[in-house]
Amino acid sequence: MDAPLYKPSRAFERPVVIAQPLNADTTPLAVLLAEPDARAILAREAPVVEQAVQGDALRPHLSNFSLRSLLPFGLITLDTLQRMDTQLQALRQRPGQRP
Amino acid sequence: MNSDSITVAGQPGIAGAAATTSAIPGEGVQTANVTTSQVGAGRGQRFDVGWLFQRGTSEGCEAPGFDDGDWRHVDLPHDWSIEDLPGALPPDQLGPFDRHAAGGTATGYTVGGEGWYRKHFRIGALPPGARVDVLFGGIAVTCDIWFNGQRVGSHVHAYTPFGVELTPHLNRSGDNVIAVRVRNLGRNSRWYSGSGIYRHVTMDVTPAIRIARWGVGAWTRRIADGRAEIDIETSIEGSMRGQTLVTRLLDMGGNVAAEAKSTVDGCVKQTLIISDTHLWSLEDPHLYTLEMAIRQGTLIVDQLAQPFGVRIVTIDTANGLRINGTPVKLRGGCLHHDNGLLGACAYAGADERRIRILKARGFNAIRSAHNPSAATLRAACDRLGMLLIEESFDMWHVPKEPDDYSQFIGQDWKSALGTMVLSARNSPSVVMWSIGNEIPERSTQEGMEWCWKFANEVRRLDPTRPVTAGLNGVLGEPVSVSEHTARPGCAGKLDEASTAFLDVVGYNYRLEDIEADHERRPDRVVYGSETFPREAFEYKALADRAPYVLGEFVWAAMDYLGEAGLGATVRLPLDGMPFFIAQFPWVNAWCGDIDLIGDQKPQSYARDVIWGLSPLEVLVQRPISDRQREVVANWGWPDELPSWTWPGAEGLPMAVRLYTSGDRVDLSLNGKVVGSQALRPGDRMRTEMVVPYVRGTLEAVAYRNGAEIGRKRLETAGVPARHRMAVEASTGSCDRDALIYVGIATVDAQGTRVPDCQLRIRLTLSGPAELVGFGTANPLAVGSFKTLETETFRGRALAILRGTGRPGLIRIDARSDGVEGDVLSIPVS
Repeated sequence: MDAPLYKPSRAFERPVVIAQPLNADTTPLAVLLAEPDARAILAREAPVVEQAVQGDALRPHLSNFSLRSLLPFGLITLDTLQRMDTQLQALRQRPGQRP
Repeated sequence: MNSDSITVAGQPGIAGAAATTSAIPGEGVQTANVTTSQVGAGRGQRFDVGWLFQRGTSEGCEAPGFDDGDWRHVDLPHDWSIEDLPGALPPDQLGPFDRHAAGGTATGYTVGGEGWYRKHFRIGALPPGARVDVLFGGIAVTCDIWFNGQRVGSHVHAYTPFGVELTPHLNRSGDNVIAVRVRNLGRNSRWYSGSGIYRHVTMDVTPAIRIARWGVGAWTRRIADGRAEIDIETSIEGSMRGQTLVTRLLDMGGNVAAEAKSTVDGCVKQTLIISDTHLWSLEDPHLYTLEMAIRQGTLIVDQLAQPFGVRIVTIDTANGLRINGTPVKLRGGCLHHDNGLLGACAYAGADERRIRILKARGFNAIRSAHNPSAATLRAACDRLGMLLIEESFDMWHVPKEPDDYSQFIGQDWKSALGTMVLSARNSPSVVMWSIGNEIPERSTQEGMEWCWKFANEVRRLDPTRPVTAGLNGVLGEPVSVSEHTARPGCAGKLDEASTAFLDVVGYNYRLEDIEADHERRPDRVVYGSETFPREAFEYKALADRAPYVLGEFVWAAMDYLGEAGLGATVRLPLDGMPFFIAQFPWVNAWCGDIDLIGDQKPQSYARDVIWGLSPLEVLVQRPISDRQREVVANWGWPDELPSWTWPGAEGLPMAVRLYTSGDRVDLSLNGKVVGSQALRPGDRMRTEMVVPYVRGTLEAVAYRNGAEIGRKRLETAGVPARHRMAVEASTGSCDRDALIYVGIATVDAQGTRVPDCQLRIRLTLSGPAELVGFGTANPLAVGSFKTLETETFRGRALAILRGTGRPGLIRIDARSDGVEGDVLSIPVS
């Protein structure tokens, strides 16, 4: 039996990011907040979440959460989630690579 | 931690195999106003004893002539945040806790501030070229260090060891003074960090040519047919002229199992080959001693020794994690660094006790959250057979608290990663390096670049272990990485922004995503890096059916100070909002399987069944009024106890929860069958029966295929009658590092513990011991952890004694009004 090795790579080159349509399942809240149309949906449908994510206390912790990943924490209901997902997916596709 | 020994060239040398261990004379010699220690040559000399301490800010404390005559004597490890607040005024200040503390719930309402340490010492006759270093295992949170009035170092990572060299400013004939200013300011941590020099301190006095600090990297490259090949790389500092590096692997009897000799160079690469290898494993954590010696002819110039376990850990999607080819599912727990009533103090005995307790409950892995562990904890993992994930950061550049380490990481990350990896890389228990926990910016372009930098630096330092991180939420957008940048074999493959540079991916609270993600990313090896206690059954089942799932790490293995009330279970009015935000006097997280003093909480009993330690456990839900509801936090557990003592509940229906690996369980009360339930796979090894409360004996019997597999009995306890004390396994040592744990239970006349008993209890202590902790698992502040009085919680308390260095008979007496006391005599030598 030989031990595995995890060798370092040579240099850093920016990964190519394949931008995805906004949605409730996989889009991080930080991305939703950065998109004015998405943020408006959030403010309309889940104002408590929209405000919570602005706060210094929760922003670092929630910025990587999607709307769906808030479900186990009771911060959003399934009905609201589905409604927002429909609206988010109806927004136009984001072009190209996210900065 | 090592058992280094050294003979400095120029002092009496050793012609032959073994070197002598240098004496450390004079620790604790009293002079007029100071404690002066005499230090001789040698590595790893204890430097814990005889410090002076002052809490608060002062001017000029770094000056050698500063008058420290009225400072308090302390022996390290020391944490002032767990000591009573000077002049504490209840009810807003209770012991070490203050309702207005800057850290709030995050740090459990403890108070930081500034503190100063000074230590006076004299150095023995040293040859020219000798180098003197002090090695700090950890200081919380930031520090600056002066030696004989000269600033010699500073440190900003609360959990990494570091050394400072004293040689240039050494007074070889008179008093030397090291002064350490420690600061724990503002809101800098999401949990209790403690304040002070909370880990051990040692001194290295080494010759001009020496093995570099953490300069030995040893790695088992191949195991076949009982033969093991171990590659060793040793960094050597100083002027080299014809010396030889002799590297040996010694078995437990001190016999040489393998040896290699090489001419000394800046970096020496050697291979040891041993036959009939005794491998390190969880069941048999066998340790060899890896001994390195620089020789000049027959003289041993420098030497160090450290434990070493021969093992190969492999991780892949097809087989999961294997140790020496044997699959191991991680039954893990996340563990903060504090030692409960002792605060952050990293006594070796306290760290070992935690590992022993967890091992006894079936845990086989610890995620040191969210920081590198103490050398004492790691050594316990090596000795006892517990796997360890060492974690470097809780944040990168985006702060989680306004004054946290994010302000330093830009300048400090290489140092932090370097010390974490180099100081721990020879520990067989360490299986992965984590570069972060729940990092907010990890999926941004900048975050990806930092992730690559951190991961690549770790691989450069130690390419023998995978890099991981704990990821919450979602993993970011798909990315494709170039060949220059990608992990080997991953160029051009789709991955996610958070995971592209990780070898093994930790999912925090993402149980539902694991199998779905596997469909899209079948090459990904994952584990639950943080999980809810309620998910134990699901993770066990998932890990059993999915080889690419390594297992789980429950949040948390043990209760800890800070994140107060994270796992709170509370009763709230039915007509109110079902939310609870813990505030003072909540001070501990109350989310561990094991409570703050080492006892099992209900989730631990359930886990005993799920992990196969017990065929049956019986817990009873605490009754609740019909105007209230129980609200259980995600990290919590319903308020159920292994108890049939519920005064005032006579006639009320009681929910009896039965956890069993059987397919049927019968329940009887006072000899009469009151229920029988069949369990199906969908029941998740749990069923419930409702029984009207009547005092007496509740007994459950579990069956599988008609055969009895387990039986549990709960007896109603009477009124508290007496205290019962018991000493946990003690080494019997009077050493200053030795701790003695004395458990106290309040029992009825028949000896049954009274489970909800809360009584003021007073200790009397005499003999060669110091009380270093006395308290309970109560998540609410009730007072001091340092005085001889406390209030029992759930019928228990714990006293922790520290040896004074003198042999003798310790006598401890526990008394309360209205119950019979107990007394113990404990001989130490």
